[in-house]
Amino acid sequence: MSEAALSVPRARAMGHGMALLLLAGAALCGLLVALGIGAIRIPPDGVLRELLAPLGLATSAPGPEGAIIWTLRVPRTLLAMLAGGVLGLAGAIMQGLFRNPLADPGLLGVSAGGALGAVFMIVVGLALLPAPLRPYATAGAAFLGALLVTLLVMRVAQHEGRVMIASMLLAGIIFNALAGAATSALIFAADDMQLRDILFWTMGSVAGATPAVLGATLLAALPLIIAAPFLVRGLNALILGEREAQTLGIPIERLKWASVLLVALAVGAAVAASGMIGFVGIVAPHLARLMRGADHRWVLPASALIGAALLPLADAAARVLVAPAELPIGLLTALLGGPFFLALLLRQRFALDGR
Amino acid sequence: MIRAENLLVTRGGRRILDLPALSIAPGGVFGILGPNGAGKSTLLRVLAGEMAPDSGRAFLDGRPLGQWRAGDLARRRAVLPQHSTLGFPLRAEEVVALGRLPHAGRGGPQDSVRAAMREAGVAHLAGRNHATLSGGEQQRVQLARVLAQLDGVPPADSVLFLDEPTSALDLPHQHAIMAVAAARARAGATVVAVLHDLNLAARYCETLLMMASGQRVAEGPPTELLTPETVRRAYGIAMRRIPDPERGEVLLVPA
Repeated sequence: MSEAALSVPRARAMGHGMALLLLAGAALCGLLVALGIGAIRIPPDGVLRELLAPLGLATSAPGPEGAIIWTLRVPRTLLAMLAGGVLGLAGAIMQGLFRNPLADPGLLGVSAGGALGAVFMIVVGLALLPAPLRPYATAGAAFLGALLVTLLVMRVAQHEGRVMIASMLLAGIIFNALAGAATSALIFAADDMQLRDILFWTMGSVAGATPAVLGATLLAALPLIIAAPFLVRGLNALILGEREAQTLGIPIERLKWASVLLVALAVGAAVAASGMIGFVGIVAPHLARLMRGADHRWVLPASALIGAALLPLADAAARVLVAPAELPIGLLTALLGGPFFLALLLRQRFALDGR
Repeated sequence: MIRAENLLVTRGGRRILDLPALSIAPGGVFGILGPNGAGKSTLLRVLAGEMAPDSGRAFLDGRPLGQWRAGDLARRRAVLPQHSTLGFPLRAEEVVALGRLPHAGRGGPQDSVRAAMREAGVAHLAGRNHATLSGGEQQRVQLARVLAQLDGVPPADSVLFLDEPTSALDLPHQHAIMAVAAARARAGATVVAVLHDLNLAARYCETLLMMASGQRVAEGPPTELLTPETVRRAYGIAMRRIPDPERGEVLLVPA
């Protein structure tokens, strides 16, 4: 067991680039399938036709398919792709930074801070705001909450100009607990209508996707996506250890700050737009490492693509599993991700015990 | 050429390093000895540019280490720590390839990784998972990693720091690692090693620095430095010195 669990996949004759192209292809296929699934089922070729119709490359079917795909499914599926990609990429970066395969952005307080911000807005803030601001107020507050708690964690973990990874972990745990307590206090004070809103926000959904939400999320995610290739060298060196990375010339403090801030920005926006969607950030990098090893040149883009492929499918499943009702997508990823996580933990334990 | 003047490092009100002057010439292994807490590793970190002293300066080729850019320094000097644990499983050859990171995109030898693995005697481990190797094999793979980092650097310009590289290793691995380092030094490199085994130090080092409480106790070639008196002053234990009948060197054994 230990030998199998610890085995390192050999790089095959195929290069990382080719494998990434295949993954991207898989993500696109997943997209076509996801767009076809729902109360009205549309086969992939029908989906493709409707997608190409506005470009004049195909003629739309006479039925309602075009409207269903373009107005109902494309926005939320794109948001699921974006959020999934961001969560996968951010998870891979956090795991590399913490040198721990179980790390995810939640450790930094991004999710707990986002939840606190959202719940605060639902319970206290919405009533005070003028009506035109209300539609985006919850997402905005979640975004600010995520950033704020992450900055607090980093501030506390900083000592003599250096950010200690171990302190970061402990500060993350503390601020997660504090944010959770504050959120609970707000929930205690909430009325029935607010409770319902809170509950649905907490379980995550991409149903609220609009072009504005998509645009804002993409804007916040772009810095991370653009910077990711520049983090690869440092994260690879960090596999050896912090001291080793430093002697290889990696500006280690800059790497920590850049990674954390970019991740908080992108994941904060993803959480704001789609609520709490757990486990994608842990599962996607794991699948990537299982496929072709731990080299971050592969793991970062592959985790993004895997997340971007998985979440639209999870959203499609959430739409049909209890039709005509709709499952919260965060509930679904937790239901699937939990057992995956457990299997991983058990496997790692067996490996460590040498059994 | 490594030089340092008036190095002072204080932690918690205690002077853990207090060294007025030091100079280390290329072409030999410079060994740093002393009991635990003598400031050996602190000195190594300061000389390697890993940490700045509270006061004083260390120089590489006449230039203060604080003025070196991290990338330039990484293309000149490598550091082998006592023990490295990987964050994620990698194959031995992937670990060695990470030594080439400072040279990425700058050309250089194509087969640095294989050459370094051969030099460290671990070519046969290339495809193995680093985590499944023995402690000694892991350390030799790490040695190959730092050799790869210095590959393509003119020997006279390369500086290799070994921080207790052989602690916790068995005899064959201890000697294998020191022999490779000594060979690099003979080729013209500067090699600085923190060591615990006096006889290992006597066997491979040209010059030894004996430290205690952050200060220099004595410095000189092994035959002069390794006397019962110096060892007693540094470690506070009694030793006997006996001549090695076959090699003409000296051996120290507990009295």
